[in-house]
Amino acid sequence: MTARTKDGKEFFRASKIYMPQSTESRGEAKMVYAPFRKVGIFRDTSLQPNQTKIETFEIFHPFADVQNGGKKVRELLSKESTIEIELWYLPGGVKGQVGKDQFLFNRFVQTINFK
Amino acid sequence: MRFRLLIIMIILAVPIALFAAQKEAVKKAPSKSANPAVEQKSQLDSPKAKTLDELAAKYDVSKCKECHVKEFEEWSKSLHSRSLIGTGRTMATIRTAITDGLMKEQPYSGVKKIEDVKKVHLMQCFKCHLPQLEDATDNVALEIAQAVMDGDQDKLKKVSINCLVCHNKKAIIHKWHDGEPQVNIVYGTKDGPHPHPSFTSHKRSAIMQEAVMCGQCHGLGPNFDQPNPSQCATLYGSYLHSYIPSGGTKTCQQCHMHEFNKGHHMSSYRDPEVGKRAVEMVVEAPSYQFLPRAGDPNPMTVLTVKLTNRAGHRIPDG
Repeated sequence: MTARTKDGKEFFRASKIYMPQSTESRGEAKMVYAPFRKVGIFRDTSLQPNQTKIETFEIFHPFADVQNGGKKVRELLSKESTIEIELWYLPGGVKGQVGKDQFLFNRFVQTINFK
Repeated sequence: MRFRLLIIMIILAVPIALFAAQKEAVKKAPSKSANPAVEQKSQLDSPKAKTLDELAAKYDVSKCKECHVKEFEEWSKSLHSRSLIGTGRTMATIRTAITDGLMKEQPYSGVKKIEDVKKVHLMQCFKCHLPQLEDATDNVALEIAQAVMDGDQDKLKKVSINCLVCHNKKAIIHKWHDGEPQVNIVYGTKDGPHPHPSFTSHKRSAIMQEAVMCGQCHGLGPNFDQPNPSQCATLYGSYLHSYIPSGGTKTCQQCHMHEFNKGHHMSSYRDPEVGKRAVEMVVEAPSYQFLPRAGDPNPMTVLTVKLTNRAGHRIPDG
């Protein structure tokens, strides 16, 4: 997910990875890839069926403290911001060509207006 | 008068005799359609394939499309129809299983060079990606391994998970109930004759509409039946131990074949419609002046994202 000011400047970025994570189950606490290495699941952050995962992000909007008549005033650098969230499925674990290496499941965009 | 009666009797007797003879002949030698499973030699009823082409011929499904046009078309666009290649990642993963696994990280595999590859080495992948390799010799395993190394997709496309894998080879799991799959039978959802030179009967498979049908390959976890366990799909484990306990009642086929009307394409994450329905995303984004301490207001948006998995298994899985 990202948050950008009206002029497109990114001021927040965060991501979460949902996936089962496997080791070789041979005594080393080291995640591995490839079916011929994976044995068991060490940790599982994937989305579980019929369950809701709730994520909370605190997005602080950029501001500047300016003097106004001898008094410090806090001003937002951008009164309008855009928040964008995308949920991607990456079968190979790495980003690449859309529709081949990565598939968009869901997208949310909202404009935030501070008064 | 007597002569006329004799003629009439002869006229009546000849067809009756012919009919009786024909009936007797049918009894002695039943027509192929009467008991086709015994009469016809199936393409599956042949010695182990010695070449990839022989294996492709043994599992040839080209005749299926003559009647099952829609199903064949759907399947031919599916990843099942290119199960040794996938999107490209499958072929690459099989290659690394040989080069990095068998040849490097597994010193007791017996594989030092590609020529050492035998069926037993490939079954960790091919148990699901090409289960019919069981019906071939080690030569075929080597031929496939070489094609994988060469990236020879044309060769690898000759064999795949196809009609006969699901509708014959993997159609029976309760073998002490139902016996082994028969070489002349195509297994589905009903019984009856089936107009095909090799597969002359239909038979109902007890599992064709059950989740366990798919669970045979979209697996439970590590394949402990292999000399060195591999772990590819774990989806059926998730279905059994997470989806069902959460109150889920659907089968794999209900969603991936019927509800989305995808039939034998069996769409998943690559289909935007399926992806969107798999995970529901609800977002709330209230903004306010957060005051961590007096006189220090911080303009903040609190973004709450709720992701609900509506699929019958964990996401991601395969």
